[in-house]
Amino acid sequence: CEILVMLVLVIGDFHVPYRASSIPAKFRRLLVPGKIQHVLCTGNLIGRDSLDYLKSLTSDVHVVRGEFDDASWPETKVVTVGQLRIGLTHGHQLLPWGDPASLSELRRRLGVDLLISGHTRRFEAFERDGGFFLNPGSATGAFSPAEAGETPVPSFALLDVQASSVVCYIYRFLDGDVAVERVEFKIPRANSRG
Amino acid sequence: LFWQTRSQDMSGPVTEDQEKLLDEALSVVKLQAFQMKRCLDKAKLMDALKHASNMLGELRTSLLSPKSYYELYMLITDEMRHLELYLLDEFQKGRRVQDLYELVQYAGNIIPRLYLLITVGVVYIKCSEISRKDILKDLVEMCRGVQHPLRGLFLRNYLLQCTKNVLPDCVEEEQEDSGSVSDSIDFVLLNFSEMNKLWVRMQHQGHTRERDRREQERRELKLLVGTNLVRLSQLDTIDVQRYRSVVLPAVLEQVVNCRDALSQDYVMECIIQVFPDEYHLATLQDFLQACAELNPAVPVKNILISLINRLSAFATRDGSNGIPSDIPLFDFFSEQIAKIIENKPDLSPEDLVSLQAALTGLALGVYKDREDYVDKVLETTNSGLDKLGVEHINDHSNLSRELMKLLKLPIDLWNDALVLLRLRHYSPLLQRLDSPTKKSVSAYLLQNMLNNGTLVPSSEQVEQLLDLVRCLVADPGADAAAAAADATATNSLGGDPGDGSANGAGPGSEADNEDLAEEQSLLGRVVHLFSTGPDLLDEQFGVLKTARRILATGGGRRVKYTLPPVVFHSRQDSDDKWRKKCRKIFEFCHSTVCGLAKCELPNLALRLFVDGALVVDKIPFDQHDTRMTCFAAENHEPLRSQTVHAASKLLRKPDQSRAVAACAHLFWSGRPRELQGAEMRDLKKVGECLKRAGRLASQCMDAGLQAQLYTELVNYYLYFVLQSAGQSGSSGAACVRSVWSVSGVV
Repeated sequence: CEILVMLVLVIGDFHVPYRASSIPAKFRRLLVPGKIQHVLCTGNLIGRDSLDYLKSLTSDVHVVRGEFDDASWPETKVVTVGQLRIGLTHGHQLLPWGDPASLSELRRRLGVDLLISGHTRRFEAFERDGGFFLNPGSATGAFSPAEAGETPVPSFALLDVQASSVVCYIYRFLDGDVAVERVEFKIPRANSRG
Repeated sequence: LFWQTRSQDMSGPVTEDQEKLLDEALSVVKLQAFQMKRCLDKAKLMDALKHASNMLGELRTSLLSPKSYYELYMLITDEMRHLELYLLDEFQKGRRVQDLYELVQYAGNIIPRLYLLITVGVVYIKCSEISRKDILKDLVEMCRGVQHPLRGLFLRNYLLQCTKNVLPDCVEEEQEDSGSVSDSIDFVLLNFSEMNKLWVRMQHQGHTRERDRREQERRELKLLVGTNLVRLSQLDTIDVQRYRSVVLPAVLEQVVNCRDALSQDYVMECIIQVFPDEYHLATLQDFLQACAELNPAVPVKNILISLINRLSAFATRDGSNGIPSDIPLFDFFSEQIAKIIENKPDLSPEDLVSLQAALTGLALGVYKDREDYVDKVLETTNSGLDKLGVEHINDHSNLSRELMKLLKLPIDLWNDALVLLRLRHYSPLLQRLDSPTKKSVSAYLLQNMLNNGTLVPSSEQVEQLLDLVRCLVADPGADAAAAAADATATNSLGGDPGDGSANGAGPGSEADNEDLAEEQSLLGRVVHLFSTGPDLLDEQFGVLKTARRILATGGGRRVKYTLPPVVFHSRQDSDDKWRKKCRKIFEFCHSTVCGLAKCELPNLALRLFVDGALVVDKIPFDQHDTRMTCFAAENHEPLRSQTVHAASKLLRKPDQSRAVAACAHLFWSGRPRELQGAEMRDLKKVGECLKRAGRLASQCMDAGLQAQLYTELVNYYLYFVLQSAGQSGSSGAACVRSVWSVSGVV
């Protein structure tokens, strides 16, 4: 039987050109066309160049609207990759920002296994209330007023969606080099749309 | 030899004639060659020689074109190889033929005679019979007997090819009369000058109306002449000294004196390509002197550019020692080029520019830290263009292209925009270009800065940079001076609609807008490079002020890309080392954002204000200022109720409902100062909000939408109930009751 590779790039909060000039060169070298099947972008791209860059990686690019985006992207989106139902939103609409309970509520409302959100610019990956939550952080390490005083770390995530689980690789740009970590989630078999 | 395929510029019957003639000649050759070989097999040398002579007779023709003649020549000389091998064999076996050298001179016509003589002479040399020196001298002199250009050129080529491996290549004669390298040099030089004379003579044969065809034919034969120079370069014993004192002067003399443009053009180029770069360095002045004496029709610029590029490549190649320090290469070429420009009043502007570009390449490659060299070249280019009366440079012209190439060179080779800012003549040259090309080069520079992470560390340099790329910053005519007059006042942003063209809030085409977005985005990204370094926050602030002042002249369409980066960049630096300065920074941001608001970008301004508030929130302030939107104690209450009030005044009912519900969070997780960072958790207020939201929802017309709103409300209630688990009291119970009542409605 054929092994289908389903790699999903989860990335966002570029803030180019407002808060940053570009993603780290080492990230650019890793993200090349032809390797990734889907891109889920949490928003706040701002400039067109970031969108063009994502579109150059693959044709299946999904973007949701961040509070600084002008373009008419939706507030939320649901995408199915393999056995996994994924929800995508920027997160500035959910109050309080980054609050796990609010996120959980949205996940239930959208009826997805995994909810991806951004805005806080801090990387997160956790399990709660029967679902999974992922925040890829900011691709450029853009300054966030909420994190004033902390040095921003550029980051993004890559999902390897397999038959019964999804492996999440987290890439962060620390001290001039790319560091990678790994987290695994098991996809719930039954339709527990809580 | 190789032939370029010639386009059919000959008329039909002539081509057919050529084919027919050639075929006839070739069949004679094949027949005679066959006979010759048969005789050789039977050791009948005299008969073989007779057949060879017949074969060679075909080369006496005047009817064939150079291309056809070449084909014939190739076949015949191939067959002559057999004869040579046979003779060599005989000689080596000791069966010398008596006086063969004299014998062949009795051949009937001069062409066969000379070809045979050359063949036999080489055999004699290879078998060390008679003096090598004498034979070579004899042969090269004898060829003078053929003065017909085409036939003479091929004959002498045969001489050169046959003697390829037997030319003496030693400093002193090894044996008596075996010859030294001086003799070889004399031999080849004589052959070369005779061939050149024949070649030049071709120019003047025949009708003037056939001049183009003749020149084309001459070009096809150029390699025959060039092979002489190649042969010289293959003599190992020729060192720099000998090259400089013997070889080059003789070649240059021949070239200059022949006064023929085609020959000069080719031979000078050939010299550059054939001899090593060290030799060129040692003879630069002689060579350049000769360049100045060439026929005016020769494109000297090409020769010079070729030489400059070669030497640049030589100097910058890995493992090379570079240019010897006693050779002021840059000065030499600089002077030479100046001379050429002076002597050629009809030099076109693009030729001028391409010469300067080559010189720039040299300066950047070989003298990387001599910024003054590059600046000098730019100055010369500028004044040169002035003298030629160049005013407007059309976008698609050759001149535009050449100038763009020139301007990109320093960007590519230095990779440091800051150096460019120091060159006084870069900007004037850039500004000559037409708008699209100018923008293209400016964008190229900015992209280079982003790729290399080139930081701009001072206010002055920011100003210089933005002035350099001013075609991107603002429309021509936007008055930067007026904007500079009051830098902090909000009306310095030229965004007032009354400003006319500078604002450009008009539609523009789709493509225009996309282009603008792209270039402004680039500019915006570069703002993040305006960085003085971590401890110079005063300067940093100055830098950003300058940036804002200049970028503001771009008008409404542009500032939406370029000013927010300024705002964010300044916010980033406000950490807690800086209590006093913070206030100034925030004033700066405040006025910038107000300006943006005026530019019909209210959404953007609103977001930036909100963002600003967040930053302020995180910094401990000693003073509270009512101008700042700070969550100070006295301001809480009114702020929250204002928000709720505003929420309920939103345009559409569903929006009102959702907004008021969202306000519930204000009363829950807001952290007022007096509680020292703890959450408010005012359940009563939360309940009020949600009830109000419920009422608003019930006023909704659309049943489906209503249901959705109620569902969302239930979620809100659940959230707070879960959060308040542990908090006892009537408020909690009231909340739960509200949940049930709402659910009941659903």
